[in-house]
Amino acid sequence: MTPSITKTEPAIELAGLTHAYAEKTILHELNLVVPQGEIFGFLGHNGAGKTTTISILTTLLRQTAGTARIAGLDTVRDAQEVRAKIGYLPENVTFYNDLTAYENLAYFARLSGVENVDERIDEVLGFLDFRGVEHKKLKSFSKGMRQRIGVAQAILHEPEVLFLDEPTTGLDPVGIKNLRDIILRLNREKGMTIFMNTHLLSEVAKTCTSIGVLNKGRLIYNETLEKTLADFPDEVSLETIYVQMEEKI
Amino acid sequence: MRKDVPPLVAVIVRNEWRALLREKTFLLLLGIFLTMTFFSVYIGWSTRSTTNAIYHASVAYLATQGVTNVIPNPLDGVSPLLVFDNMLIYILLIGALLAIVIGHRSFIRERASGVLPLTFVRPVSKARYAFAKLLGIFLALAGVVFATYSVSALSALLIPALHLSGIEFLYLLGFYAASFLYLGIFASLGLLFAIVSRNESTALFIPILLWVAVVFIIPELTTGQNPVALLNPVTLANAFPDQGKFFSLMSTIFGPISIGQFYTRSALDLLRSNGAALVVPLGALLAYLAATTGVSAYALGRHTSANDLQL
Repeated sequence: MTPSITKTEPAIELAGLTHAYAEKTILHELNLVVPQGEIFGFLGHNGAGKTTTISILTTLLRQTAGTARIAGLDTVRDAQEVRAKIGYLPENVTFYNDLTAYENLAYFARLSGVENVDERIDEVLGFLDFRGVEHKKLKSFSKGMRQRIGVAQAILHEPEVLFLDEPTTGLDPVGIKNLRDIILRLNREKGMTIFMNTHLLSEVAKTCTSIGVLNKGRLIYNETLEKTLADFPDEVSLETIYVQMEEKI
Repeated sequence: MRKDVPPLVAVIVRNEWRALLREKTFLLLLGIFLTMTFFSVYIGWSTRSTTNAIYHASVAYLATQGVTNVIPNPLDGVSPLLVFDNMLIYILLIGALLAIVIGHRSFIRERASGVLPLTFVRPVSKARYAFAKLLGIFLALAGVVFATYSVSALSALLIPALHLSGIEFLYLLGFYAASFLYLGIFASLGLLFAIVSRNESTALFIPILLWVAVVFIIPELTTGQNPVALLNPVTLANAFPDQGKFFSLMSTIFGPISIGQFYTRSALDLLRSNGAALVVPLGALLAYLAATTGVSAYALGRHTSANDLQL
């Protein structure tokens, strides 16, 4: 299936997005547009509000003010329709450990209304170069293997927008490279828009087409990677650029 | 909905069973429960046979002594279904624990495995999820109860001396249906406290504490007025000595919440093939089941917290 976002609609659109919890404001009026087809890197310290943002975008959490839209659909009013269009890989993804990889994937595929579940699982595992593990229980899987099954569950229903929350956490260098390749292929071959929370600036430089920087719940920077590197011509890495941005605040 | 895609509720129910059948605690308790079911029939029949044999030996002895005017065998007028009365104890004790485990694990499994965020980023409303979870729990419980009925019925068929009529098999089915209502209350409580308690041990401890209160403490207080031990379901004579004002007061206060006694009364009447006085105890069990299920459904639909979703 080819992603079907109307050409005119941005994949993700935040307008005045604010979230407060227990009298503490976690997100301050975020305004952001991510066009379709982008790989967007969402950067920020621990506690900056990245996971809260992704939780609102994936309909798991309701914001206290402002709006969030996915493919033109409101994440609160049109939550069910939004869910049909998104895939989500949480940080530290976990599954039913006593069930096999196939049983886990089949369950989530059916919840997403996928037709021809067996064929689709085989197709996705083939895409991820991960066939042959279907009938092993998840409790025997390494972190890297779980992450691949995590990606598989997120793309089974061919979402238009894929959310990845710190996808490289806990992975070894080979695992990180494999995941990076998968993200790039999902974007290029399947046309998915990808929104990725991450700490790893080197990965952002290798993967993302645009970045946003969140600091204490405020979006302090939002540009294409190309423009970012042009804006800071004297800096040797994205890491030094990021440090400069943080220091300016 | 596309034709070849199973309904969401069916998907969740099927997953519930699949996961439950891989739970070692559940399988262990189920194994014990079914084994005890088989032996309870044998023990009941053996006890009755021994009592009959003693009666007949006594009649024969008295005849040798010239006594021919003996009272009729008191067991002649007793329903043969009462050989199943030990099941009442097993259901009150092990059955209730099994039901708590089914309800408790149903949600703890989701929370501990961390799959709730993966579930709720899909087009699954919390109301439908709650309905499916409860349906899965009750169908699993119905499966357990039906398996127990099947073992009981099969055991009865395997004992040639125990002749049950068709209507008695139906009363036996009624006994297990009443047991389902009683067990359903504890399955709902197991689920409810799994949802509202953040701590897994507390989530299991509270329904077990309620079960202890329902099976041991409240009956002790309320049956003091009418000293029929709950765990020894014997039919007593009509008149009881007055046990004083304390037990009378306790009976008035705790009687309406004595779920164990409602179950015992209805179950024993069914085993006696007596359907005349079933309305009140069965109605009470149904009301408690509806109440606990309703509260659990509300908790599941409304209080699946940010913590459960790992936010």
